[in-house]
Amino acid sequence: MQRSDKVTVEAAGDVLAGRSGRRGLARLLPFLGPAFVASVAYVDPGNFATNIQAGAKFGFLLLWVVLASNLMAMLVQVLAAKLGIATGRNLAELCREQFPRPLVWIMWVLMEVVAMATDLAEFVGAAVGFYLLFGLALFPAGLLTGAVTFLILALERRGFRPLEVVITAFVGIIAVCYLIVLGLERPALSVVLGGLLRPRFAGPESVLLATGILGATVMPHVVFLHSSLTQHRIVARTAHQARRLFRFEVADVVIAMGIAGLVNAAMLIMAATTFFAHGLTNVGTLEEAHRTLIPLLGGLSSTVFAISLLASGLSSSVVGTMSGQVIMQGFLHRRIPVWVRRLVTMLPALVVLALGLDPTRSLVISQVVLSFGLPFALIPLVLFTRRRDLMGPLTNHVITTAAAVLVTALIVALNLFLIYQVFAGG
Amino acid sequence: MFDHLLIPLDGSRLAESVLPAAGAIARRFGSAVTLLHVVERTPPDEVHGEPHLTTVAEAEAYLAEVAVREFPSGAATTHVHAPDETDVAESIALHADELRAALIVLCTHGQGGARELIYGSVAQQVLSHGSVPVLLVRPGPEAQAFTCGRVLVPLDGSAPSEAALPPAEALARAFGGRLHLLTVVPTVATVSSDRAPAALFLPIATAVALDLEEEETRLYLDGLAARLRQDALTAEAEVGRGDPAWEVAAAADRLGADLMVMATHGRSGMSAVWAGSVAIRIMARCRRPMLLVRAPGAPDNL
Repeated sequence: MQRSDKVTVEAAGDVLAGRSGRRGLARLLPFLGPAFVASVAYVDPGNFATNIQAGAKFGFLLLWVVLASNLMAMLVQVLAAKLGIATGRNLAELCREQFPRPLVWIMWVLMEVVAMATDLAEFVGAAVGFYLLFGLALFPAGLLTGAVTFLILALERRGFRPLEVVITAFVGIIAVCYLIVLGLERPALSVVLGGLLRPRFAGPESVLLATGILGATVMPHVVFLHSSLTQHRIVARTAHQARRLFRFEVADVVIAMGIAGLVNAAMLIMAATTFFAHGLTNVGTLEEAHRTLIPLLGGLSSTVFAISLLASGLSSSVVGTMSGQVIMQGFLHRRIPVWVRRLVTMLPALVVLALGLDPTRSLVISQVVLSFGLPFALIPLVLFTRRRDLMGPLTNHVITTAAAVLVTALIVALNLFLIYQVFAGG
Repeated sequence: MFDHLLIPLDGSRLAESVLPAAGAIARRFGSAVTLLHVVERTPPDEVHGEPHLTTVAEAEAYLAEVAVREFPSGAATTHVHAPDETDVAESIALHADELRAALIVLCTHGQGGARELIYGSVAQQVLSHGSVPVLLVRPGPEAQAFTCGRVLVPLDGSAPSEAALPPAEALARAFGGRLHLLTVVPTVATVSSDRAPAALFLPIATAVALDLEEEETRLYLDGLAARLRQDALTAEAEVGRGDPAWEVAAAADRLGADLMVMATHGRSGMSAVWAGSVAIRIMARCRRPMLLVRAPGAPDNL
């Protein structure tokens, strides 16, 4: 372990074990650096699009969805990583082991569709970033995105962190920008709290957007990924080791999701206080968001927004491609060359750009597709984590299982309601 | 173990750099030796700045001269593969199987260039085509005084990577050398691409998991070293942290390793780059003699 990593982990370990003499915010410091990097993974262009559209169309109405999605994501992802620690296998491998072969194939196909939807959001987001920065038309911007992601995938062999540091710096800038926006806008606390604490909808479109926010936050591929934490060589041999690892992982998820949740909420609030407040409910696009920052912080801020969108799109796209490999390896025990996967998953995105569809709308729909993929990750997750024969000392508490069942039921209900609305004409 | 050595030669002095190593191994193991030249369909005018063998007669005369000069005991036979060969690497691998060679001794010069980037060096291609271990020798002072006093064995913790142990043991025993087992556990910053997504989403937990992995690896390597010592060998174990390719190359320099023995997938060229082959990256960084053994099955990223 490199020295800086070791110092961070030791300090974090002291905090978790109650040995640390630190007080207040200082107790959090060892966790914040890595968690900030991790939070980037939860703020991809899909989040940009769903939050901005939700804020523009419905003001603060759907703010509670951001909070609820975050809490659900924390629970789900903690369960997923716990599954990996307890069993030494990832969720896809366990599905392969426990379910009949036809079902495994169906799940794999569904997850590949989810991978494509994820990639569409990331890819289109990066293309819009190029468009905003250089004025490139969207289709050439898409081709350029493809070329750059190929390059990053090849470069990534030389180490993951340098790339991440750059990307995080960009996304950090945008996060800070949004927080400044909040500081300047000073939305009335009562209104914000109303949006945050009063669950309600306003017609099918708001359900669609809520589902999109949910899909953008509780991402199915991440559920699979989290469980791959210890799949390489079983490391948590003893109950003590497993619990220790689990504590760190809860800290990871809660802090990273907390940061990401703040940024997501800030995005929605910004759209609500600018577009929605000025009656511009039909222009909740990334391009518009790019323009909103100019009067606020000058031209540089809009450039920073475009850079961060590009950075977020490129980085999450690379991670998405690698995640697809992990999922395929788990379900099928097969690998395909990473460039083949890259080509296949970017095709829908290129079609969307070639057809000239509205990028922001496409992003929102892609996140809804993600949400439809969620039950297929959550149901097996709940089934496995409650089994003592699989989980040993990390078996779910009854209350944990009840909460997970409730979350899964909610998501399934939301999906079913949306299908009903679409087909019954709501 | 190494009862029959296959030595491909192209007529250049550079390729002859492998002869001291091959001679040393042949003497210790009493090996039979076959000197091979594959006549190419379209041979280059020159190789390594020297005239290239172009005809069968020319090649036969050259190999016979080398056999007498380098193996005066008569241990060496010669074999010239007649023209019409486009894939030299495949031909070498096929000959190794056909002649039941136990080891191919090859010179690697790493000239680079686009062709090598796409297809890999001849040495990598030979490995990808066949199952016979390949000893790679780079021209230089180390090649002139080949010995196995210090043998470095990088392992990745998987069972397939242990395929490097039997030949490493045999060489250490024959040369009276010591074995140095090394496993490099990555850090969060240097995890391989298939672990990178989990490392991104769960950085602190990943760091702790890697920490635990270091402890496990230490136990595993100490166990292996203890077994080797029971077999009357001198062996030590070391766990490094960081990028495996960098750390292995650095350890080889630090220890002054005479030889590195490693299991590999046998991928070459771009497919190795995409697969993140550690062996290929170590080859690029290390100028010491290297014995590569094909790993059984499909290990991770050897």
